[in-house]
Amino acid sequence: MKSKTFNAESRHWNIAAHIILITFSLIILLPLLWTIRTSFATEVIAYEIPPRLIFHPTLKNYVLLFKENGFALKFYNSFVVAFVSTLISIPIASLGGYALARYKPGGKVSRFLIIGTQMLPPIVLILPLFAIFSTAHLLNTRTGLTFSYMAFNLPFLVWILMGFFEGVPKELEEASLIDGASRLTSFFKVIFPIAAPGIMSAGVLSFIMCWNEFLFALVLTGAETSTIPVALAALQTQRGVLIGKLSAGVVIANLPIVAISFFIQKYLVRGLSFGAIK
Amino acid sequence: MGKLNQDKLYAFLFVLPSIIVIFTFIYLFIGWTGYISMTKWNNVMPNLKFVGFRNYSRLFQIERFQIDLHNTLVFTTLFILACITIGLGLAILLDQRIKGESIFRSIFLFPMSLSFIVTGVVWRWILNPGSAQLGSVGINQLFDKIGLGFLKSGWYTDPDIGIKAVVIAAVWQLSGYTMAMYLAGLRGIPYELREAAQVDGATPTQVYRYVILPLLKPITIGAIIILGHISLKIFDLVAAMTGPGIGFSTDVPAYFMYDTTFRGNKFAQGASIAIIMLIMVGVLVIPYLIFSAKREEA
Repeated sequence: MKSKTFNAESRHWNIAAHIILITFSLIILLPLLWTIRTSFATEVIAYEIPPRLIFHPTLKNYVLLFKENGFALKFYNSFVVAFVSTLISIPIASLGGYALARYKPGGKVSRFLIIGTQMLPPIVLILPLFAIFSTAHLLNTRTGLTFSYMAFNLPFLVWILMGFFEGVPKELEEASLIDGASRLTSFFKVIFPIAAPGIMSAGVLSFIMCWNEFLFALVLTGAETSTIPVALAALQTQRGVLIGKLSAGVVIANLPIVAISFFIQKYLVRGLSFGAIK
Repeated sequence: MGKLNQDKLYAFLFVLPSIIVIFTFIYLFIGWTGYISMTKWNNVMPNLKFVGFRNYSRLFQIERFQIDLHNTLVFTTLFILACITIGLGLAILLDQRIKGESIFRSIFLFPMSLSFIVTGVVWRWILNPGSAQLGSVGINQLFDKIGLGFLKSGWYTDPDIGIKAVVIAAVWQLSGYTMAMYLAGLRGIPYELREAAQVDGATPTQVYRYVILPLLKPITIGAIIILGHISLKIFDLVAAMTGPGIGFSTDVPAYFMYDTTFRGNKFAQGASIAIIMLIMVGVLVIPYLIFSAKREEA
């Protein structure tokens, strides 16, 4: 880089840039940090004016959430549904994405029909799902919800996995085929491991999408089978809801996301942009 | 020739499970919803008698739906404008070889992986109008404390603000994502281009105005499409933050659809709302998809 001399003007500009960036970071972070802080506060402290920063933290809100609002069950429901649906959809989507990347069956039309589903308002699918599930006795079951997530996320997963497989060199596969491996063996023994990082992140994406999903869970589940987002939304519309408890609910809802999201931000951006950026 | 046919067979077999699921549960279901929207099924008992477009003509006469369309227009416009302005601004700042760039980037991007429910719950509290019993809370309390009490507002409970308060939460969640799109775009512009312009005597402002911004146009179009389709189908954020609001001042079509179908048991009417939403999103996205497919070909 041929940098100009570091004159006063550019230094001022640099400081100004930092100030703006830090301010915006605070706008992003403060609401979340304040929620975490409130989740450890008693109700008295939570409502105190002026607010206290230093206090003796309590886990009471969390305990109440698990005892009175059944958050253990909701957490379990969310986890099982997200995990199982991901586990089923990833192998199917991998095979589909691979074949689309390699042989382009159906040409542009099939690609269009897959990417086209990404824009779909999920609300268009909820009525038939509701009708089928109520005749098949799948309403208010984890199986039904798992299945609906699998179906709704599949095209998206096929699409991003197709992108990953396009990056795997064709020669590797041809070599293994010459060595006498069958198509399916070569896929699972040679291609799958190379594409593993991509498949991993597709899996994580799928998990997060299921974990955060609200509409299907709201309509298709009941008290026994509902997930964290539904429980959280229900919690705050109750009369006399306590802010400490609500904050604890927000923290619990975010826990798995925080744990994994920092690692996959790049894929998240790429995956959601219709291929607008590579 | 035999090998080629075998390859095609394998490709077909590999894609088949995905095709079956996508066709049944996406395309067939869209058709199904479309069919329900043209039936008489407007109470608990299914009644699939065909009535043509009657549900649609009725829908556009319902005042709530007219308010919803207006809210959607306001929400979409403000949301896109704010995200693009903030996103582009942050991206340009981060492109200046800023110290700690990756930390800033991670922070800005973080809200996008949260659920709209979490965002809604948090912002419902921040923009809470407060009450006689609690006094002021959230941002109103902050304004009180720093002597800016005149800025206090009823936020989403004020019918004049209504949906615009929800925009604030949505921008908080997705302006970082817009920033990431622009940053990727900026990184794709060869450094030589800027240098050449500077050698020709352009000031940094001129370089951005005449060299860089025109090159970012595809990113802006992409961002408008993506943010636009998110805002057209928004449901979770409204459900968690405000609900339909006073005089439907924070209502959106998706919430109306949910109310109509699952609380009002008017299935055919609800289906017609869903189809209108699908058409709105389609009008926005499909030309873009065709355009980018063509561009890739060229």
